[in-house]
Amino acid sequence: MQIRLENLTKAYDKGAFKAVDQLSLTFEPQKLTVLIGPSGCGKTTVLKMINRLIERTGGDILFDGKSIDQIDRIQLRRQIGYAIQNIGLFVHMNVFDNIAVVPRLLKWPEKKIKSRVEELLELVNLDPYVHRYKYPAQLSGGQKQRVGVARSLAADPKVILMDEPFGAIDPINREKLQDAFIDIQEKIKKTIIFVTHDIREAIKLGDKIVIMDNGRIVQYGDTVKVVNKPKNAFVESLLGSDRVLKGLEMMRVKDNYATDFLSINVQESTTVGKALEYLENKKKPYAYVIGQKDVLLGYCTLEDLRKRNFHDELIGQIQKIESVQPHSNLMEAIIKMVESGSTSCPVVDSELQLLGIIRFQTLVDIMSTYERVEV
Amino acid sequence: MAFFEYLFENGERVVFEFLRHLQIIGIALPVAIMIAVPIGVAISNHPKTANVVLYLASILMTIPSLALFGLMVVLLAPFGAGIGIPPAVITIVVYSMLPIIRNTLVAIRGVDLATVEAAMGMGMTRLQILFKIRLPLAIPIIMAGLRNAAVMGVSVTTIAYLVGARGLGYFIFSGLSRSRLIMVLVGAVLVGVLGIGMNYGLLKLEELLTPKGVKLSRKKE
Repeated sequence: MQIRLENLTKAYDKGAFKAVDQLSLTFEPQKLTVLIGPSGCGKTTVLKMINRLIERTGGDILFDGKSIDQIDRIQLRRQIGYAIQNIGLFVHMNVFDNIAVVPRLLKWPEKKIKSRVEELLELVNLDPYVHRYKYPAQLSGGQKQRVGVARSLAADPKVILMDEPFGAIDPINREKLQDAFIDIQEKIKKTIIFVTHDIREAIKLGDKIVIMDNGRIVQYGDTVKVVNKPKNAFVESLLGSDRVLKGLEMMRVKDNYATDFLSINVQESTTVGKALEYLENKKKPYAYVIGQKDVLLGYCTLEDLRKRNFHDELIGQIQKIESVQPHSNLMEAIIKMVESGSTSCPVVDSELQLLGIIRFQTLVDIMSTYERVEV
Repeated sequence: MAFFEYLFENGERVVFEFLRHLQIIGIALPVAIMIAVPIGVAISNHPKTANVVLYLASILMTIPSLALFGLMVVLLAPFGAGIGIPPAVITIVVYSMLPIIRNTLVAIRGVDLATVEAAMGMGMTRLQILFKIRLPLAIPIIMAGLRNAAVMGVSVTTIAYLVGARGLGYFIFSGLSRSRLIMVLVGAVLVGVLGIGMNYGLLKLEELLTPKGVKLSRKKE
């Protein structure tokens, strides 16, 4: 479903204060759009006008071209998923009943509801058989939030509104939930409008970012573009001085690793002598060492090998190294490099097979493409 | 020993008056709930009206019960109901207004805003929010108000003996007029037992009616 805001306005005190001011915007279907800005910028007001928890005072909201006024308010809300900061789980209902609220309002047959609830609990990584009859008081903060997300998806809405859904959770669990949420969205491809004041969250989750201030849009575009090219000093300060690093956080290793690495297989080059010969031929100071099925064992350096006896077994000379996986982000790769004091980091798959290499120089190149706004 | 002697000798009478006492409260409380809970719900959205209603209800409570009974006798006489059970029931209903309305109001208003907003955002109608969200969450506090009213009802009913409603007041007032202290003692003890029993019974009922999830979340706090 496509949602279009046309000159959307919310005025208070007979127009003396405009929380949202002539805002026009089209939310792209199946994309996650983040609304972000300082508190009081009108982001939550925009969200609540879309499901009519707040009535607009001017402009229009169009769902696939149809004005919001032509849609019954109650029906509209039942077709839009809604998740909020304090979760708002109903404490007197168990997990099953909480998730089943909207399907029951829509009078789904009970059998369909049951299979839907199970499906959703699995989607948000909660075991249906363990959790469905638990009450909110018996769940941890993170579990409650997962139920909140599952509930917003319950009736399979095309549009989901989320108002800081991960706001009330400790940083470690928030990180986990965000990762899980990225995976979920990759599967379900909903049109999601997501309000947050956490710029890291915005960059991490958003396909698109809307930066708001004083009820107006300051900048709207693909997240990468906004991070790369902040339109003005306000956007740049909102993104923060470390926006470049935050940008690395949203980029995945799988899109950026190189495969021109050097590796030695211990099954072929069993001795130090053979390995030395190989390295000297290739004129490289070091190489990764792999074993059976290309599994990464570590690395060896020319310098170290020269100190050893030619007939020593290579397997005794391997040094351990930290690695990243394709779904890791580039920020994690930098951290691994810093930890191991190296300027590169191997990339392995879940079976530890060596796939490629991330070099520090690549990261520097990416970062240097970011533009700076003169203040 | 004289206490039990009296109790056994007048067993039939004791049982009769005890049941009559219960009967009066048993009629009055449901009526009070049916009037006070809807009022509490209705005014929960209108703070100004709520203040006026609570003010009126607390004025009603300041009227001495004896005066109220006198008033009832006069007002109900034209309908031939000036004495007996009707004035007693009506008086208890009047006194129950404040605790039940007040607790309903507090309970309904006290429901977490995020919870209500989530319910609205999910497309519940006002009535659905009231019956599926607000009332189930409000049960424990409404029940506390009801217990308040019930215990008060037990003592007020004692005085209702004076308008011919009978009940345990018989032992106390007859005992006083005949200077038979043992009768007064029996009456007082039975009224006490009934009050405590009533409170306990309603507490159990509250336990039964309160949704499990609410109990669990209260335990956690």
